[in-house]
Amino acid sequence: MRLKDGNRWSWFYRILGWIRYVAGGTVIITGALLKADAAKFSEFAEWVGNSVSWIQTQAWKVIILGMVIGGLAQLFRSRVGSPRLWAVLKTELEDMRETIFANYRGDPFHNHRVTLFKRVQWCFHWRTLIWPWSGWLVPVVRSGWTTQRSSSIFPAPDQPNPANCGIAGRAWAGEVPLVNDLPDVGPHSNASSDDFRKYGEATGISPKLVRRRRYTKRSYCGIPVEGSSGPWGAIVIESTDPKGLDARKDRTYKGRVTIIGKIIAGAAR
Amino acid sequence: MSEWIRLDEDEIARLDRPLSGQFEKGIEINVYMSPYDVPLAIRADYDESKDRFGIHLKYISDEPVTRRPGEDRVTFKVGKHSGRLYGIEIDTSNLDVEAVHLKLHVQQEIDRTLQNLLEDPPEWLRPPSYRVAKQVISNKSDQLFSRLTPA
Repeated sequence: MRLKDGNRWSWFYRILGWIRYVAGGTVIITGALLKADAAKFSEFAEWVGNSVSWIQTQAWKVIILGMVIGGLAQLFRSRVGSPRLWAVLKTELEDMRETIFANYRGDPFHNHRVTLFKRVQWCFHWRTLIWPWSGWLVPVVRSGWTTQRSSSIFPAPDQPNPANCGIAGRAWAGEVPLVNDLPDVGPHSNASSDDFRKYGEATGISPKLVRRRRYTKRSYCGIPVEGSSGPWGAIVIESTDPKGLDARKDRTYKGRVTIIGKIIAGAAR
Repeated sequence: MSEWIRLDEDEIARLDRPLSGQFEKGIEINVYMSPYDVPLAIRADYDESKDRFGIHLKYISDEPVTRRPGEDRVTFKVGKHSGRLYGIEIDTSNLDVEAVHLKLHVQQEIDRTLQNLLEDPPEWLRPPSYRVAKQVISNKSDQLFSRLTPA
């Protein structure tokens, strides 16, 4: 799943905007020509009159088609979201990352990152084959420019189970979990079965998945994000440092979600 | 309308201490309240013409509120989407007390209502919000209930 970066879909968003205007304009013009006298238009040029006659005979089809196309374009546009909005959110996440991990300036970006997850009702993914409709948290924006592909999605039903909903799911349910000192289960570690189990229990991920994915992050914090109509998603802050997230500074992390929540409340669906 | 009383940073930090914290098998896990559930400010108003005393809470986000009747003379203002407690109103018209005792009586009524919420929470109210509301009201009771003191 490729995360939104504000530019990738901007051409699609613009085209959808144009389709919406063209469809809307066609409906208005067709409606206006319904009772027009085609003979008068023929005085200008015969093809104009013929065109008006043709439009009048096809008017209802054109109006219905125009409304459907315009409506679909608007629907997709709101689903894709404004590229400017995603760009602003990405900047906010980047700023948040810089503030939280100010002491790690020399490290690679992907060692300490901030990801915004959005809750969607339907999600088609290999992990959602059985219940694609039960509510899922999918990553939409991530700080930095590395690791911009992610297959990490988490269940977000109405009543999430802390044992399998991940840090994002717990945050979406309205808590702020902060986990430090996780065992090293990365690809170059000699992690034991007990380490995979401990890691999974602390983060709400199944030990099987931990063993398969060999996560490199050793500390996490999840923060809920609310939009204009209630819970919208969650922000997950993660670091490869086992002491990467300082509980005493948690208010700094949480203060930033106010801004992100306001941006989302104002623009995103 | 009365002024909002802002909660200072230390006060908010005290409210926002971990709901649960544990060191599990060497792993540090703390669970905090959502920042959206921590009130930023509180105010009280007393409308003598309508015989209504209300306590209102302000959070980092606003949302439409619905009114839910509570016990006796009490009405709750609850967030439509979040179930967060935005206010408590009490009808003072039928309180059979002298003006000098009104403050004490209303304060006791609100204390009792919040205690009942803790013991028997309704499902439409979000648990952290009334726990925090009780604490904030208790901390600021002098300022909040001073409006009921006869001039």
